[in-house]
Amino acid sequence: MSSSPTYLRFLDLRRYVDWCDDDAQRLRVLGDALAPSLPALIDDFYAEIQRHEGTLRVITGGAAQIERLKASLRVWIQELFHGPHDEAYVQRRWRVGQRHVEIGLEQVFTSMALARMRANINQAITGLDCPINERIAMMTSLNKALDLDLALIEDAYQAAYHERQQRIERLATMGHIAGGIAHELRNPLNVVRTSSYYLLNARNATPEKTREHLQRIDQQVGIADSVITALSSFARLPLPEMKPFDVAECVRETLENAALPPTVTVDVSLPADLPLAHGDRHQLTIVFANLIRNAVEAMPNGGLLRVVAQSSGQQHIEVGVEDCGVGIAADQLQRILEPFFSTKPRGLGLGLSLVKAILDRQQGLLHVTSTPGQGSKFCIRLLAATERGKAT
Amino acid sequence: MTNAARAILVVDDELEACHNLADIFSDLGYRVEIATSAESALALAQHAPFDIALLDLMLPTADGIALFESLKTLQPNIKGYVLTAYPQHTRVVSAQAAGVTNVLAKPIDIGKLLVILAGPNPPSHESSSCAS
Repeated sequence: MSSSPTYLRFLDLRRYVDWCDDDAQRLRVLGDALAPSLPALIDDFYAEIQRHEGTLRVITGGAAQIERLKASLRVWIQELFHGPHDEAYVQRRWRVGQRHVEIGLEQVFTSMALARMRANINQAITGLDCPINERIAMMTSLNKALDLDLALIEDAYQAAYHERQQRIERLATMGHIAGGIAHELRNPLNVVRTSSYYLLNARNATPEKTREHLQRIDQQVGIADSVITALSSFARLPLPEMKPFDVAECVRETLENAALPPTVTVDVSLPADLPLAHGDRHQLTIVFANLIRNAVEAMPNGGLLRVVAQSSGQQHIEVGVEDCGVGIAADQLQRILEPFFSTKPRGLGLGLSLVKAILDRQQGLLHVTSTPGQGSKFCIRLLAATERGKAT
Repeated sequence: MTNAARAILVVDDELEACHNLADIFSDLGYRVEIATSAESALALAQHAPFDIALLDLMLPTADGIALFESLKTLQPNIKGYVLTAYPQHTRVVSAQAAGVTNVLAKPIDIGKLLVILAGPNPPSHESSSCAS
């Protein structure tokens, strides 16, 4: 029969504290010798627990629960002294740590309660009628056994606590994502619904108006669909097809397709001797389109958009997209690459995290600088195709 | 009193949403003006009186509730209705304190909006005609 990872870890920890059969034997003797003192030890344990708010608030069942807990502690101490310290023993200790997370008992109280228990048993050992070296050996064995128990409980506590935190974070992220998607879908749905209302109820709808509303419904269905497409393309970004390509041409095409407002002036610097880049041209078009769109949206009253490409050593090409817009506050700057984080009233907040995801897969880098009120610069670094281009 | 006497200011940064409300309320006989930003809404309110403001919550530079507070200083009798695709937004709870009459979730149920506009908070000139 194969042992569980928890039991194997216990065996490993036992080797760490040099646990041996003599320790087990000494604990059995100690258990018999301390049997008369056990009720007082247990009473002290629970009397102390009831003096602390942090422990008392997890005991919700009153005196009856305390009595049940005392009975469990009696069994726990018997097992500590008499064993067997087998897999089932380990699982029961593990379960204690898990249970403490469930009821919200902080781990420090377990450590303190066991420290108190340890002090009281050691005190009882000093009163035993046996040679001092025997008593010291008993204390050492007891400490090993208690430390092993505490390690198991702590281990289980940490694992359960970590799992619970992850669950809470997952739920919060899901709520955040659901809110973002709901917002992005309800706006086009709102236009569809109000257009339908008009078409069904208007008293004086001209044929032109009717056509306009039908076209609007069609257009908004497209917008809603693009939200879904953005989500699924983010969730399932295909592996990049790395090939040499002309960055300047890619930037120029993206700018042409960007439908820039007339209030935005563009200053483009794309040197003729720029080497080819090594990357997925299609995915990098998405990167440039996102950066250019963000720059334009950062300048609601128009302004200068600068796009500058240059070689960076033999290995890299840098492309900077710079605006003179509203800028990004320092606290937001730290979060702009997070999925579903947005500083805008519209949008899912996926643009820059998609940019980051694409660059990560192509060994590219993104560097952002921004001054609120003055503008932002997004600089990306791509691999140059110089060597690779010749090789392929 | 007919709807022709009532003026509506529609503010939404999505132009299509503005156009739709403008078409629906114009067809019902209201005078409707639209704005896609808080700034242009305030500019309109400086030149023409409005009975009703239908305001999107999330606008580029201000939210609909803050905009309504500004509109109230220009036109104390204006009634505000906030429309939002995000009814769980933390700002929504401050709508009532700001004097907003109602908050409606997008996609808007126009039938419901018309019932809300008709009462229980009818404009003062209609109240006086009922009372006489």
